[in-house]
Amino acid sequence: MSVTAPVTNIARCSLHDGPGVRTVVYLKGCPLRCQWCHNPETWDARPQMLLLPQKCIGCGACTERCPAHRTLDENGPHYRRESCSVCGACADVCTAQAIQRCGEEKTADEVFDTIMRDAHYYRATGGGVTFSGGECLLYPTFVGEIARRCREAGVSCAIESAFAVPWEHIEATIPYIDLFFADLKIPDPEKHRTYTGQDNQRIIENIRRLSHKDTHITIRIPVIPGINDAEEDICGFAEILKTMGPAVKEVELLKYNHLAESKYHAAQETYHAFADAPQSDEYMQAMQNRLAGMTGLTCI
Amino acid sequence: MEAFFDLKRHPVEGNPILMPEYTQADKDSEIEWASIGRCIDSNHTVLGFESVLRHGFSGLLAKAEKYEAKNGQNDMYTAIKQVCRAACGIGQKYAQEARRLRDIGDPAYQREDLDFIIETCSRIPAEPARSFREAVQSLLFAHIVNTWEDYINANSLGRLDQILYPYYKADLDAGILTKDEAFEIICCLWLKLYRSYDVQQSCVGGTAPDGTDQVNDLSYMMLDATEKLDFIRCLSVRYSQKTDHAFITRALEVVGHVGKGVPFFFNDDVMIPALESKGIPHKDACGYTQIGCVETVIPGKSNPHAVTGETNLLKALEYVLGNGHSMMYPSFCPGIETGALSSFVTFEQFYDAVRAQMFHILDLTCAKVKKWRTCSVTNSPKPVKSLLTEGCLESGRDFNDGGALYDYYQIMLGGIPNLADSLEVIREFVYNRQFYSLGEIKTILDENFPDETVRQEFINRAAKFGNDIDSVDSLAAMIINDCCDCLDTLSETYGLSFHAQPFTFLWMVDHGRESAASPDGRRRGEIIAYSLSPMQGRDFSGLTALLNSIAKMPTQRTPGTTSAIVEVDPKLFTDRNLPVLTEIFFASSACGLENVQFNTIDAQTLINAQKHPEKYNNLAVRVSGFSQKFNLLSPQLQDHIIGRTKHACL
Repeated sequence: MSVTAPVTNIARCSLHDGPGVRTVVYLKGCPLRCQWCHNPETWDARPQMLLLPQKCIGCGACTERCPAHRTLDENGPHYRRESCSVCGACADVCTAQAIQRCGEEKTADEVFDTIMRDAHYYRATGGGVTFSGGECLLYPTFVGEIARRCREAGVSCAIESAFAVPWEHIEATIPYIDLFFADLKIPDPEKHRTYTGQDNQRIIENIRRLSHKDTHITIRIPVIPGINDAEEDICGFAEILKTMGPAVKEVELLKYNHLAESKYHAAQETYHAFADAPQSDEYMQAMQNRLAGMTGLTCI
Repeated sequence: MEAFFDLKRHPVEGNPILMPEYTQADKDSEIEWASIGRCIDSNHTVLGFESVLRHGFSGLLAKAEKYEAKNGQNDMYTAIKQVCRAACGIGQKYAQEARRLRDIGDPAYQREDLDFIIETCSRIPAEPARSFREAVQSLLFAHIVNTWEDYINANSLGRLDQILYPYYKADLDAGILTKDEAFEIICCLWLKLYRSYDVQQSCVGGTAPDGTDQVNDLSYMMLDATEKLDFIRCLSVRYSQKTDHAFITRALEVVGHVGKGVPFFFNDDVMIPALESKGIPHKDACGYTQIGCVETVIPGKSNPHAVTGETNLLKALEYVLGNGHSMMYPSFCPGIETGALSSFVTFEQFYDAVRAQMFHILDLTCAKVKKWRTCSVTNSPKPVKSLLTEGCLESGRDFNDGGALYDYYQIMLGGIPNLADSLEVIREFVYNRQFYSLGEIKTILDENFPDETVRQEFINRAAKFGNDIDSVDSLAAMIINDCCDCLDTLSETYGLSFHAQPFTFLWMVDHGRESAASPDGRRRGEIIAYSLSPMQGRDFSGLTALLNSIAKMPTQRTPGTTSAIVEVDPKLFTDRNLPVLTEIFFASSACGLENVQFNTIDAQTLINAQKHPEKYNNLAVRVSGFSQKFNLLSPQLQDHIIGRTKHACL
């Protein structure tokens, strides 16, 4: 029996999670709770129900199947998460897919087969597979197994991780991974705890250890207006980056956006909006220049 | 333009034109739009324009006289000689008018321009072209002469970069032409050809018989002209794995910049073997180009009878469920008896019946083509086309009387994605999981999905074409293969060469209107899928998955070309993504993608344009094998295009 992990989605033809055409495997479960997270459905490692009222056709099948938990009105099905056992019976009867059970266990074989369907595009474009989440490194055996087979098949592998995991989890995957995307979120440990649920000491230590290995690391900083974009934050990031080893090749700053709002509603989580308008290109460019000047690293 | 889309299929009572005798089954299937068989005997050509450039119409007249002397006088030679004489005179008329303008000193014209026009048109197109300018002028005149015969519609120009290159090169070398001047002349030609509904197809690029790629300066210039002028120009690009990737990047960039779905793309690695499989020698197969939308022609050597026979294969399913009867008009029996539903114990038995009905539809279509052909010999002699198509002068037989060197008929196969999706639902729900009986499915369809949950089940709980899922993609491939086998047999039966063409033009609207609800979740009367694009909105697994699905089709057997319109996020055409898009394109082509066309307008823009047409006058979209201004489309077609999945790369 092949090793399994809870998968929320396998997205094909992504162009933003590493070079070339990529298939991104999203795994469910994360030790952090970053308030700006784009994938709230991946926080809890256990399966959960997603609600997509825009797909609801108002047939009421879910309320008949599980009346204690749901009622139906013109806004679609109501749902009380606290009294749901996530048995999935409602999703079974919802042919319109307005209620979905998210986070089915998939085997490494199954995921590998899906990845390989685009192998010719990876070869042509220098692409490959990217493991993401949630925190994909909660499942080092699963990720390692698929990555090992990908490497044998000539498919390049990348990992997107927050690194808030035991070092052994990271170490186990190093031989098979060509590129690590490592998140740095907030330099100050206490502020980090406030906005993500944990301080950043283990994260920084993990990245630092990895940065002395023979690999390639891209540091990613999600720039959250008013949270981590002040002068003291930039200096703080620079101080951390200066302590990194040679495997850290560049720093990528990510613009904040609102694209995830509907996913919060689907996952019944509270959405935090951190800004109304997107940051300007000039603002991002200035921050890139500042950070590059202080660290000598390439900032994109 | 509207009149064109309302092509009258049935002759008016008392029409003096000879019409074929139809049987009752023929007529029934036409009412259903299951099988429309006409032998298109007008326009839809690419002629041998090189011979006009090389010999002039006076040289061609001499050639006609030579063959007449050899083969004996007949009506065709008489008509051809008249055409040649008239064509020799067209230049003189232009020269005469230019002389008049010069003499009155019309301030709207520069004197040296008029002198140049007088000099050129006094010779052209009677005499051979001596320069790039004369070649372009001669080509345009020859095109006008061709449209005298049967209007502009889909009378196309062919491989302009190849035809004109020797003249361009000689002039450059002789120092009598600059690249800027050549570019301006091409822009002028583009302006002359402009129509609001333009299916005068031109083509750039392509593979030589020795395998080398033929992209030249003019190929790039024609892309540049299309971008610079920013109006719809029917332009296609031929390419192979040997084509310089920079050329395709440039062509894709033009798609992104112009945003009107031009140019579109044809894969030589698939097309050339497909034509060879129909007995066309390699050298000539390499010369292929497109007519109008996506119809394939060997320029100057073939009568392709484009969009000749038109079928809706989804009807095969109706005829199985109705045991020969239509589900739209149950009293009609346009199909054949394939047995009671209870007799289909396995899915294979069920599919055998579907195949029998498909063969029946194709047979009706090809038989009608054969009947039409007999009439078109009498109704539609074509002296211009006979003059400029190899084989006619030589044999003494008209273009529409089998005179062309390659004489074949393109049979359009419509409804393939819907039929494959429907068969997958039946295989899953009736045979594998046994949720429904065939009788229950038929009742649901007859009642047009009274229960929406059932329709959603049919849509969401069985695989759909376009998502790289082998079970359903292989059904689509099997349908095409079976139809190709059938057309091979029918070619023998009727003594005509039939080429498979999985292409619907705009008639997916009419086919849909006349089709009952289908098990893929399509409601009664709803538009069916366009050509080999997935049913609108049913492909949701990303661009690579969609291209994989299409590339699995047995396109080496469909020289009529398949067609797929892919709707993509305009962001994919930005500088950052273009190199990756180019490589995606080459990789899917290596897997067998035959023809692809891109729309790059996001759904929101289209919805806005529907609400405020006055603000979007220049907005154009890929509709079928051609682009059209969005405002000129019917609301139904507009909705269809909005409903197609827009592929972003996350």
